[in-house]
Amino acid sequence: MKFKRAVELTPGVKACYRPGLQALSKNDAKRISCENPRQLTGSINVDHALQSAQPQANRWDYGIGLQRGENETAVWVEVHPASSASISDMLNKLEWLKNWLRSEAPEFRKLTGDGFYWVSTEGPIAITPNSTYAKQLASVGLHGPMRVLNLK
Amino acid sequence: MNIASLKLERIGQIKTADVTFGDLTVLVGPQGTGKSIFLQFLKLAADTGYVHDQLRKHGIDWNRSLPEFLDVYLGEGMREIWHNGDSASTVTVDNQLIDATDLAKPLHRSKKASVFYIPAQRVLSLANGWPRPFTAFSSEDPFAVRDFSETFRILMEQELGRTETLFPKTNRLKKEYRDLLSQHVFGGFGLRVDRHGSQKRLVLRHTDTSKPIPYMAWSAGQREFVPLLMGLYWLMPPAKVKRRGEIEWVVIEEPEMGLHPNAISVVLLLVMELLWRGYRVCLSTHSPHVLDVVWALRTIHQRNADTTRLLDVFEVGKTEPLKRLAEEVCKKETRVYYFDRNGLTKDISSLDPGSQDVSEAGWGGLSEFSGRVNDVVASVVNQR
Repeated sequence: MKFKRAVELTPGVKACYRPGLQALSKNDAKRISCENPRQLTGSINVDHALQSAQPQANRWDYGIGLQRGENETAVWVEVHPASSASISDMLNKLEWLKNWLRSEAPEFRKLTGDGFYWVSTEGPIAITPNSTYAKQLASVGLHGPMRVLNLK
Repeated sequence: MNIASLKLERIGQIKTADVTFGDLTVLVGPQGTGKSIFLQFLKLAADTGYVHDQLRKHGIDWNRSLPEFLDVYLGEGMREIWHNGDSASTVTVDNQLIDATDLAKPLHRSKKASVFYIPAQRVLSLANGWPRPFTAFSSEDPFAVRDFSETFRILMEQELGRTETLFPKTNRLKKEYRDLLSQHVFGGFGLRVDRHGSQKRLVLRHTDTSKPIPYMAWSAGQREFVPLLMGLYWLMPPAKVKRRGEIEWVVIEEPEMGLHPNAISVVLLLVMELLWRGYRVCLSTHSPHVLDVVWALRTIHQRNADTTRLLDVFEVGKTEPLKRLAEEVCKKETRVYYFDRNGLTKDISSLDPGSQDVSEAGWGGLSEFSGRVNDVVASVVNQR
């Protein structure tokens, strides 16, 4: 259980491990889909965990552990309204997350590959794939926005 | 003719194409999925009398035979798209099944056209810089191209032939449109009627004294656009009437052909003008740019937003005439249908980029490739 171990070894989030998607709010958990729920090896609410320590930071929402065959990986999910007005927020949050992984969460960083996702809150997704905004997101490694994240 | 819906079954590649029309209806889908056939059947269902009359006037006789009629109407060999027997082809207009044999029979019908059809092959209407008459085409060429070319020819000879300057022309198109077309399509050149020996021809000319640029030296986009412009001149008469004759519908196949996105924007603004004039418009397209405008229009309409936001889409000034246009056009109903490779149609009108239905999220394939590219790029960026 590498994801759980990574939680335990990371300052600030040590006590925040939850099984499955239990770290996510009910509404947000509905936006994650996984055919085999056993692949979900746990989750953390990064935003809540680091709220006191970094109250002004552009904190990311969630980390989720995902077992793919023999490999366990960490995916990072931000649930946020999907319009062009949110682009700069999302870019700032991703930058914060990547910095945090580099400087304070090396165990998570080892588990993280291609796993940064923007999931939309309720309401329209107002960013089309061929827009400059969508290209901007792709160029920093962020997938989405999507209404539902299907994890495989 | 007021048609609310059209359904074709088992015609060519089409298994079932079932479309309920909006004020603006857009058809998307890969090549060879039946969009053009569908639009030509719309024309035929609405204007059977006109089509028969025009064919007969030019000496064409199909002997009341449906297969022969389909060859002369759709083009040589197109009789093969029609099936008989147990899995017979059908045409249903407003939930009423048409007796297909009637399409080839000379019944008592109106000979006036209600659908103005601007075909994908409109570039063929200009030969050496002058529109070709109906009879200059082969009898095996599709009616839509021949009829459009003939209309273009009549427009030139009866309304515009004595004019030297066709564009910009002060009594045709609002100044805002003329300025945009000048900038994005003609690059500051004017469209003129010129003489080469005794033969009139259309040319581009930068100034009154500069050398004329003949048709074959125009850009591909200019060659595609000029017949479209003439079609729009036909539809927007200079008098204070909003519409031409009995025309209710405008069909434009691939309005984006050969054009840069800036020029496509201007064409779509002219489509908005057509809607404002009360025409029902039907487009087929391979351009996500077209659906971008439809998406914006739908969103403004659904959210009861400030209608002048439509003018922001086109980056045009908020003049009183354009504000009135935007207010009217934002009330119009839009529909988008995807013609898929299985011969079926799907209503993807919501154009939701977040839809779980790939055909809707990917706008019938028009933005699917971009989405895939974005995912690949994001994955590559995340590789270490």
